[in-house]
Amino acid sequence: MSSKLDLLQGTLDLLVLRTLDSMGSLHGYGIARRIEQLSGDEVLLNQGTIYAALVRLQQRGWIAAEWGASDNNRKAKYYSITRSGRKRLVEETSYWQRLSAMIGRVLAPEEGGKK
Amino acid sequence: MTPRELWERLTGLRRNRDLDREMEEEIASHLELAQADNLRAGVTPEEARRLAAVRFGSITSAKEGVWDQRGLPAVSSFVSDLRYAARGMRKSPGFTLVSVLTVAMGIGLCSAVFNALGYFFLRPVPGVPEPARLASLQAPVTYPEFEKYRDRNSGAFAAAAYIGPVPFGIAMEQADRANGERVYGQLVSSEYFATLGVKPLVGRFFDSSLDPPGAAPSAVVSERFWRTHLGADPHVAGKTLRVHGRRATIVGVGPEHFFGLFPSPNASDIFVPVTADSAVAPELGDDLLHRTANPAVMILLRLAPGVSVARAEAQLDAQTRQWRSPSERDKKTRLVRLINAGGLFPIPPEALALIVIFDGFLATLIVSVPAWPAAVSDSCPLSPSLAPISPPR
Repeated sequence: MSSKLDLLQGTLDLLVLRTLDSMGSLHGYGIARRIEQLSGDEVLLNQGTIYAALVRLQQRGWIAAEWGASDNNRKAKYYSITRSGRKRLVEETSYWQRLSAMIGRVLAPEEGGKK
Repeated sequence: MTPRELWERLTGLRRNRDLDREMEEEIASHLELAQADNLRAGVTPEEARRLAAVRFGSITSAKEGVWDQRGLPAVSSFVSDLRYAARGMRKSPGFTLVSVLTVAMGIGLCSAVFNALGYFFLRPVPGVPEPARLASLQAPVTYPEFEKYRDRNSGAFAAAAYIGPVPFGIAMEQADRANGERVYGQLVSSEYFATLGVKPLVGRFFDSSLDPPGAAPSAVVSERFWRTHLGADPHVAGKTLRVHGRRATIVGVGPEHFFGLFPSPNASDIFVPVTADSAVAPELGDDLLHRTANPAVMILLRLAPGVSVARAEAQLDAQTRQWRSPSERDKKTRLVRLINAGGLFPIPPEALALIVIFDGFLATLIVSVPAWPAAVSDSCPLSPSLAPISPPR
């Protein structure tokens, strides 16, 4: 097994939404770093793959983007979560929690142990 | 996919160039920011750049991810297939020319043939109102059978009997006998013209009281014959001409463009009553009007409004079983079949269905032409994805 975790299909979108919800407006590099940091560097993420997710989330109207200047005055595109993005985040979070709880129950060692 | 995403993807197919430049800038900015972060962590500038690139991963695959997301992959790859086909065609113009000409001639020929066929097969009989309601029995019957059909079905359709087109030897009275000519015509019952719904241009049509069996031969001529042989004489009614050497009285002239039922391949220029003497027409011999063997009479029907061909056929079939022999009565198949009589010549319904199917096939072929380059490119040994091809932009 690899030492880092592969992201499941669709979970990157959720992580991006969550990051933007808590951090406000952020550029692509910042989002990628934030996800790496929050995951304790456990997630296997080519930072470049985040851009397809950013385009997808924009298409669905869950995030918005505009060009701005970074702290040290570099030009960068800044993303922020929209109102419908927040709504989506709530739904996705509760869905994810139900799903992971269900997986957890199914995979849990049987009570009482084996004979 | 939400409607909004679909819309974005559809528009994403088009304004790609600006978006691509923007993405390049975004990636460059990403790498710069990462590099600056790494420098702050205290590595050499080269190491900082290297680390930034490693963390980012493949720039190409990042771009491809965005491209796939932005457009509609199926459409984009179809477009690049088209481009690939176009390049291949440009590379071998001779082959392209031959292929295009071959396909063009094939389609042209098919269209021409079908147009000609369609013209003949689907054109209505000229000079007759509401031809769609005309039907004809596919096989001949005897005259007594015709009379039964005519008298028992007046609610469902009007019926008339006819024979022909048959050739007549026609000579004008004033002319030398030797100058007689061969003219096609039909032997018709007195209901014929009324069933077709045509009105005489001059004089009258046949009438069972004026043209009883055994009466002096009478004839109706076509408007064309009237112009070419009778000088368009408005007082032609009552004049005579010779039919197979026998004197016949012209009682009327048909309307313009009218050449009888099924005018192809032989348009009818003269009409003679079926009650005429067999000296005028050998087809009338052997007591045609009364014999119950050797069926030789064709039947024309004009269906009443709301009566379908299928219904009339069923009705006629049921009646026919009542008087035919027991062996025929037990047949599972129809004893009577109807065909459409509103065309230039009789076409069985099966043939008509074939024509319509061929029509549809041809239309599909022509409509699908724009998709051919893609099909061609797919069959090339080098698949589009392997070809040195730039992604759609």
